[in-house]
Amino acid sequence: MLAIRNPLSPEASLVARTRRGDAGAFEALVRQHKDSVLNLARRMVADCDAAEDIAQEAFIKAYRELHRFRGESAFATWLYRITINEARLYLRGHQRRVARWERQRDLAAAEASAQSPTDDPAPLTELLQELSADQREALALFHLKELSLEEIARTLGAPLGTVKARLSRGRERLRQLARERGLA
Amino acid sequence: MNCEHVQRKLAEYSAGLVQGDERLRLAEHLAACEPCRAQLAEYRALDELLAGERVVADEGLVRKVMTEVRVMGAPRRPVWLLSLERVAPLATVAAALPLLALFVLTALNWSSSPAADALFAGVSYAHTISLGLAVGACGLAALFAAWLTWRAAEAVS
Repeated sequence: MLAIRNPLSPEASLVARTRRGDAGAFEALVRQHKDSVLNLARRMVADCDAAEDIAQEAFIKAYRELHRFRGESAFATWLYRITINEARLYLRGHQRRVARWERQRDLAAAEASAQSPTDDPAPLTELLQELSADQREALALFHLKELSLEEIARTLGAPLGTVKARLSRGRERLRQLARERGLA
Repeated sequence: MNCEHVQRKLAEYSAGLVQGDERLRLAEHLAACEPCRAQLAEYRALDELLAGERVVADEGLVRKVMTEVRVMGAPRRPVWLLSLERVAPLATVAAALPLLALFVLTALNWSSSPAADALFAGVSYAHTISLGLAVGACGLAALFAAWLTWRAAEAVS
């Protein structure tokens, strides 16, 4: 049997019940993590509809691939890794479309910020898209406020020092961008 | 500690990524330096803005996921993965045999017994080395396959 990190935790119990075919237990897991997964996806791709599709696909993949969850990390960490992979797939698959869309969005954002910088409902989420993918992933996980730096590093499969550097450079770049757009 | 150094560290400091003495020294500088404090305030404002942009997933997401999940039925371990549990011990034996053969051949080659002399009579040193390398490579490949098999089998257990 695999060693669940904390076999007595309510989450481990929900995972075990889901494995036995209890759909209600999986629904509880979905409810527990839906906001974090959606926010993570949203910060990765900015587009609300795409983020919801990514979140949905991440949960379904987690259910289908539950036999692969070894219990060495928290369920959330594993789920976030799936979400990030789904977001990467989305961004890769729609690279050309996204690039075109980003150019249009930049033009629109520049016009909008010149007129009224507060019109955009999520201007910083939009600005995140201008960071490198590595920095964006680190920042999106960091701003969930649920994971330690070590867990973020494990989720991204990167050394701790690298993640720290990505976070630092990402935050610095975000501040510069926010200043340029009159958001800070 | 000058302003340039402090401002280079502010992105980390404001995220709580600087600890110990360095954090104390930065805090001391910030207490006395208005321009650095202003930059720190920008990082704090960004964090608040990002927190304010957090969204709440509506019931629709749960409904869509659960509809799909119910159609899929109980999560099942793929049959090919289940069979790995049975294959794993065989893979280990398959890895051990060539390595054992390599060990025996090497031991015989270095010994001066009549059996070894008979076995290696007419076989050149280069041939022996080639054979040893080939058997060793097979053993290592099988060992790697065994390791992969155990890993996959463990994931489904």
